[in-house]
Amino acid sequence: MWPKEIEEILPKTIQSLLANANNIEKNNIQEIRLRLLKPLEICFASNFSYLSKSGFTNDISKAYITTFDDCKQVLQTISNHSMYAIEEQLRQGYITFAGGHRIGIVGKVVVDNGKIRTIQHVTSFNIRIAKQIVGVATAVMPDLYDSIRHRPYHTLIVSPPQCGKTTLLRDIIYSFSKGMPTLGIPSHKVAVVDERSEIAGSVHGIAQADLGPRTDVLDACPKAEGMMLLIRSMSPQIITVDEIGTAADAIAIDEVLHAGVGIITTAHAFNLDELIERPIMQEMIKKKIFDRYILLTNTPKIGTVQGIYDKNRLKLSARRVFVG
Amino acid sequence: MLVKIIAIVLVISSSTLIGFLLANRFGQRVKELRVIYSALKHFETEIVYGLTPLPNAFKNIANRIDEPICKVFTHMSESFGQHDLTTIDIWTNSWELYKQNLALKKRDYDILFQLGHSLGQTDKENQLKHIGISLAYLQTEEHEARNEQHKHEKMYKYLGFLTGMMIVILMI
Repeated sequence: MWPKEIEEILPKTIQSLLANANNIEKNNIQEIRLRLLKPLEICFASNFSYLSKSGFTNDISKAYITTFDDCKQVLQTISNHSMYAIEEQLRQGYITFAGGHRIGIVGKVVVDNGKIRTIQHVTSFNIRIAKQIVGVATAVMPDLYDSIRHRPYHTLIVSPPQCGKTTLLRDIIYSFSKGMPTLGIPSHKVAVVDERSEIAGSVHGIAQADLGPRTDVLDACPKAEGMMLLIRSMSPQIITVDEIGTAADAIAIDEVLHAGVGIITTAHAFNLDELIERPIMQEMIKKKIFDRYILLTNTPKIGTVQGIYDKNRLKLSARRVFVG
Repeated sequence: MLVKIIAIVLVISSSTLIGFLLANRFGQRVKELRVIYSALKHFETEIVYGLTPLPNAFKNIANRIDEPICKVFTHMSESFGQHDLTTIDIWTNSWELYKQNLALKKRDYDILFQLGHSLGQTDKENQLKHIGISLAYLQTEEHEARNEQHKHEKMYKYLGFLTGMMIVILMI
């Protein structure tokens, strides 16, 4: 589905060009990249093209060139005419807007005390279209719930970047929150610490992605602090966070386990051997904190589950499950 | 005779009324300047505590201030939906649109339009600085407007009445 929200933030000129473009191809767009005075680039899952008057093209000479006004208008629309309101996000380099889509931004950085204060003269935008794929987690869900002790397994999703890690996590959250009666999984109270507003794609604290009926989202909060806060305040049965890796995260996760709360989280790595080379992860793996490891890969396509491993890092089964 | 008396009353009362209306404009300007001042103060708070984007901030401001200035802010907050208008366009157009209903002078508009250039374009600190400058200017304008009011308000009121009297005497 081609999301309406994307169209709304694009300048009229680009909107009309997209209106001419092939609808089927439009649905496969993953990124729209605007670079000042450079051809407008459209990225699909595995290839890219430019945008011309007659639709998508690979001929660079026909491509639409992004103008200064285009950049100005996009910035004006995403900031809602108020740069001060997106100051904090500018510092991070991206802005999440309605629909959970995000825009990456680069330009001239203003530095204050060695830290990024703001980005001025924005020259490149990367509009990344968020896709919520309902049902990607269905295949893995039976392996994530301990039907004997009636509790979810502590799970770590291991994946290289751009392999559908967050998409899978999102659907796992949804599945646990809603419950899956057919698999004998009841509905759980789920709490999410969404440090980078990536899981829920919150705008003004309102989750844009559907994370299920019993999910509480703590938006933009540092992970370690957020986990502690949620245990105290929301009495969750499952806590989920994205991309753990620091010592503070490890301590907080320990705390979560002691509170008897299930944890579902993710980490960047190409495989378990690489993961174990990271000191903090190594310690956590050795302590057998996680009951399940889900390893994702992008071959043959994004979101392929390469394997699910148990706490001793033994593969549960050799079958390959397609989830993307 | 009766007709004459009616005519005299009419002439005097209408010229007095004109005098009062002109005198009223001085008071009106002071009032409007003060409302704009408090509107900008509200805007400061919106920025500091809520980081509210302009469309919402203007809407909130419009709800809290008096007519006729609140109409200008309502119009602004409603104009933000259009894509191709820049922030400064919206700001300037809205003031221009209501110019006829306002008693403000060119100097006052200059201050406002000056602020329009930086509105929403920079980070929080910078916004506050710009608003601060405009507030200071507005305060001087208000002070001046008040002086003028003291000086001229009574004069215009008397002048209206006296002109009416003069016309009547000349006509008799």
